[in-house]
Amino acid sequence: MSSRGGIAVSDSRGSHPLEGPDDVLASETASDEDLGNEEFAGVDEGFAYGDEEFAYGEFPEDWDDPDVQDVPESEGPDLLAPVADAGDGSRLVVLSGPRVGTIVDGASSESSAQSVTSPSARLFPRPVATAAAALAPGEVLMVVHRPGTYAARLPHALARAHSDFSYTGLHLGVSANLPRRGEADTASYLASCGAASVRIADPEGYALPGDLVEDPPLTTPQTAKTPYAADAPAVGMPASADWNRQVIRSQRAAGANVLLTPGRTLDHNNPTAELDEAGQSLTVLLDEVTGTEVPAWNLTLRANWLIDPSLRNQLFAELVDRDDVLVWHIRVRWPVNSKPYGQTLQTQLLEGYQELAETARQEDRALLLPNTGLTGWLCLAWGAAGFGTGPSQATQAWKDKQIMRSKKGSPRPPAVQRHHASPLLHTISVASHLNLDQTLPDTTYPSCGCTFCEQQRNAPTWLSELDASHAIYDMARLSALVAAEPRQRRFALIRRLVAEAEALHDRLPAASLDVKETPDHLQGWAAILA
Amino acid sequence: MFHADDVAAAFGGPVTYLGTGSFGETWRLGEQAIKIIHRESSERVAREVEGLGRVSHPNVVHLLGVDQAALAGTDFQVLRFEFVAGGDLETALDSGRLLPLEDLLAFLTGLLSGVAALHDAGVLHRDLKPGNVGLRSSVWAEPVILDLGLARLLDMSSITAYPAQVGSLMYMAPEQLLGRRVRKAADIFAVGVLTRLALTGHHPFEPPGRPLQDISQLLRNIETGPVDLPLEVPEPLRALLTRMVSPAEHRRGSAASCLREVASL
Repeated sequence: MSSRGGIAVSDSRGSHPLEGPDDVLASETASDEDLGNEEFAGVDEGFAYGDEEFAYGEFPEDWDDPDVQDVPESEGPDLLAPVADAGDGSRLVVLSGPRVGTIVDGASSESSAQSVTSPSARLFPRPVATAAAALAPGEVLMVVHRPGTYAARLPHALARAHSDFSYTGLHLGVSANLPRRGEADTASYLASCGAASVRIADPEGYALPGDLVEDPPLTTPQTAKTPYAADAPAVGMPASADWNRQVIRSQRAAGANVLLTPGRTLDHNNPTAELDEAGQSLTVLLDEVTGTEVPAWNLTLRANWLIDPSLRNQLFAELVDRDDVLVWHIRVRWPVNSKPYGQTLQTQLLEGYQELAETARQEDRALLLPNTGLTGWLCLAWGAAGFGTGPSQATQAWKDKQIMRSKKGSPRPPAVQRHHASPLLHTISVASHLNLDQTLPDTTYPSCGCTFCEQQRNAPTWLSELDASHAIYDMARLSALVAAEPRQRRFALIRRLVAEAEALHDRLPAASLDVKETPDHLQGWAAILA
Repeated sequence: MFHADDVAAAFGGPVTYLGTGSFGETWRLGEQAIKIIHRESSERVAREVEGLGRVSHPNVVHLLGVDQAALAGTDFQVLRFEFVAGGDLETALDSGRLLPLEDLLAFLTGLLSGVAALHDAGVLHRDLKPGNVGLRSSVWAEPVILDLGLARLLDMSSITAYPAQVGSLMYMAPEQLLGRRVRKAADIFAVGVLTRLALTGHHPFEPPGRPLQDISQLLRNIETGPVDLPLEVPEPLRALLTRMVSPAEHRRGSAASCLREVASL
């Protein structure tokens, strides 16, 4: 453990010995199902300890410490903003106070609540836009994926971000993995995120039995609970229209307002047939959407689809040709990256993302890049409409994993807590962050003034849940900078921010960062933005 | 070719022969252009032209109806179109006329708008070429797309059997030449080629003095890139017209995105 001014830094959960790679820790708040290999904020994915290797553990879901209480932000009246999808302003999202993040009925809201009427001043947040408005050409959307841990923090963090950044035009969204929690739980969760314009219940086609990737896989109870998962067609077999409709209706039942095609991984060995199949799923979706629902073509790809010119051209040709859908939701499987919270370093993959985003911008399509974190944010420079992120590694990147084996019974090395540091455009260890924060002037390493970091400074120990909220807020702040710029100036802005981050890294005292946490991606980003 | 008297008798009025194209003969009957389909079944023709009835746009020839007519003892499928007076791009170029620079934007906008209307109705033309682009009242600014959507009926065997159709190859996108799936981008490619041809009088992938020997050479030239446009053409338009003939389909852009770009100029 490191210390900060005499304050011990430790995970607020205390220590929980893992039984071994095949055991699952139960959580009081989780159901009795295994909820998968979700990483949560502040813990490494896996790393070598001396000469031994360690397996990935399985982490409990929703590890919210019931003894941790949020510090109320304000004792004054609640700040509210209308939710546009109600049309008549009857639904309001609470942006401050103990009810922050929740939706209230405008007609029955307390007289002490202060409604937002002026969208122009910075202090007055804009209404939460409809999904269609949030995905209109030129808009910027940040989607936060429901994490395995600290999921309960998300509604508050989103509300805070909306309150502080909506004036820039930034829109927020939430995406929850549908099969892992089921329709009812997902619906409840999506509804709790009142500040989210876009609500996605991701059908996770790539996780269904027999998928090319199937990672993270669904557990048996999850598969049994999700009808379309159990009925999923075998790999290489076409999906029926009925099955596609089943997937769509499940999302609808889960409260989604942006509906996706299933998103099974496209086999690059059979591109024409696979794209045809994906196109047929889209046709079913377009026939099924009603009212204000927004359809999105959800494609799941291995990286070579963006790297191989032949595959890329065929994919992009199909995307452009289907002008009956305006939203592209494209999830790409990254190659292994050995660094925790590392961005992809493959230049060819970045170039593929660049061309994809530029094509989307040229065609006035909304390109959403789920599970891409800072790399997704980078793609805003080229015309992507939005990206998905979150407080954990899994929410920030969907990538091949480094398999590390352990000796059964061997103790797991202590978790390394990490902090999202937007000045470096990187996630670093809390220890490194605190060191930089204490030793460098604010002009060099700016302190984060978000409410969560303020609470963190006043807390007796480092609280990972507050840092999870900070990570969401910090990404929203970066996204808001982009949203505030006209489209034609976003590239220059991001290029400048990347240059500043690189310059900051170059100025850091030697050994400020562990070798495992150097922001290697910045050099590549600077080169591709040059 | 049918005798004019037989055609006139079949349709009840004086007719003027306009020409023979990929699918049959075209005759003028008053303010209509009658296309007599030589070789296809009524079902296939009806199926292929079904979408055309949904298109109503000033830059797309109006399909008036689908009929049958008895000629020389045989029933033929007949397509009735509006007659677009003023000739077509082919006759204009043959007479030495070139697209003036001041009409470039209007010509390109008109063609792209017509293609966009077709695509919005779910119709791909697939056979855009100089003979299929009318100039209403001989005005460059009013191009009209003719011979709609029948190109799906065109296959390589028919090209072999009907040499007149070989001319279509020069305006086909590389994916068409290679027998691959044809998307809307193929029409964009053709518009790019036609516009460059109209401006310069030369095919963009057949350098002056170096006639093409075969399709393989055409494909190689497409990969290499088109002959440069005159410098008098403003750079943004030159860039767009180069992008539109890119071998990579997605780089050509959709009709809608090309129109947006033209509108911004």
